[in-house]
Amino acid sequence: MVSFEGLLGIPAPVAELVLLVLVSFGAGIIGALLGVGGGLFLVPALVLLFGIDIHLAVAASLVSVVATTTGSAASRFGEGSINLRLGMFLESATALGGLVGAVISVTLLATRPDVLTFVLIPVIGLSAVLMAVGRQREANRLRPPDRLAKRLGLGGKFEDPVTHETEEYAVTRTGVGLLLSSIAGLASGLLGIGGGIFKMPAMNALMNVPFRVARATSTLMIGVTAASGALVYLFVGDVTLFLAGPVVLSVFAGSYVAIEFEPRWSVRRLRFLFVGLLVLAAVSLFLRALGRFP
Amino acid sequence: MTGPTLDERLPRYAALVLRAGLGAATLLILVGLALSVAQGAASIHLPAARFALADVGRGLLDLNGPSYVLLGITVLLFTPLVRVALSFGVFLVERNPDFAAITGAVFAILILSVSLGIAL
Repeated sequence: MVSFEGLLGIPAPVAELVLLVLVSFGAGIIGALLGVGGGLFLVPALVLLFGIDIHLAVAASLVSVVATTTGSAASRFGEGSINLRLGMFLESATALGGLVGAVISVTLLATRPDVLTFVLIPVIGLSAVLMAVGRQREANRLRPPDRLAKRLGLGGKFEDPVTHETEEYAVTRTGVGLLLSSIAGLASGLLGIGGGIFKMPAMNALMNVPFRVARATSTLMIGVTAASGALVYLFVGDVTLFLAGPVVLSVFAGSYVAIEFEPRWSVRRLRFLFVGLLVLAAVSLFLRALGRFP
Repeated sequence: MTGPTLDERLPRYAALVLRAGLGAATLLILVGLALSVAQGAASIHLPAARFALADVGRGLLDLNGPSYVLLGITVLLFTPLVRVALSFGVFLVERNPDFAAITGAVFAILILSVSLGIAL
């Protein structure tokens, strides 16, 4: 934890607030560039840099995840890249997972921040791996929908904004998608992340959904997923106002800036920086849990 | 042709709900933080406050900063819930039983989140 006493002669609470705003702003930028909520970066930062209890960090992060994904989902509706039916179908699983995760956190794990930390570390590690090896697949046009997807009409059409080609796709492996969505939801409610890093590859690589549609639809779903967990934390009283308030505004501002400037930045090159940050976060959390972090 | 059906217009309505909710929430949090700083409160380590609607009502009238922040966060978290409720209504009107059931279930889960949060 950073010591704020006498930092440049600024009173400690003010210096801390300024640093909080900067860190959250950065998490918002990274999250939006990667198409995730930013919670993966924010929760370790709040715990490691500010010494915030992991439960309160998770609650504040979830609230900010709702803000950023609500903002970007609203603009992606305009693009026409959201598959609303698919999103609403998978939301039933992610929302339930989010609720269960939050309830476990505030009951069984209420006095066990160490357990939460040890769950968070491998999730950060797995996310770093997915981020490093992740690639975007094209949807296979010839693949037929499975029975459930056909009955619910989950497939769709999507016009690529670059090539202007219309891509038609059918949705497959609906059952597996539902299962993975519920696990992503559980991770969200428990750890304060959006879970987009798991939902995007699940939809893109397994369910035959084009990458842009998977990313936009995942964004829409995260709003409901994070809200189902965050509402539990809010009414239990784990949402710290002077932590969550500045975090929400700064993360949101960061994501807004990132979306405006996205075309000018090379996300591919930045990706390895982000992977490095995640690895650093995981290692620091581990050392801190062992009592060896300054 | 009789124009787009409700189902086809749903994305536009949903986007409108999200924008309105987010706008109102951001404004309330901003005003609340400004008031809190002006009133000399605000350390990020202050304990969390359990949500009580009656106190928020009184706090708003007293221009109490934290009450505005709390209301803003509440508005934000209820925004996806309103979007789901809207979809549920549309699918009911359109007599789409599959999707009415799915969105109804999501709505029920969110209500359960609120109820469990209050009960625990």
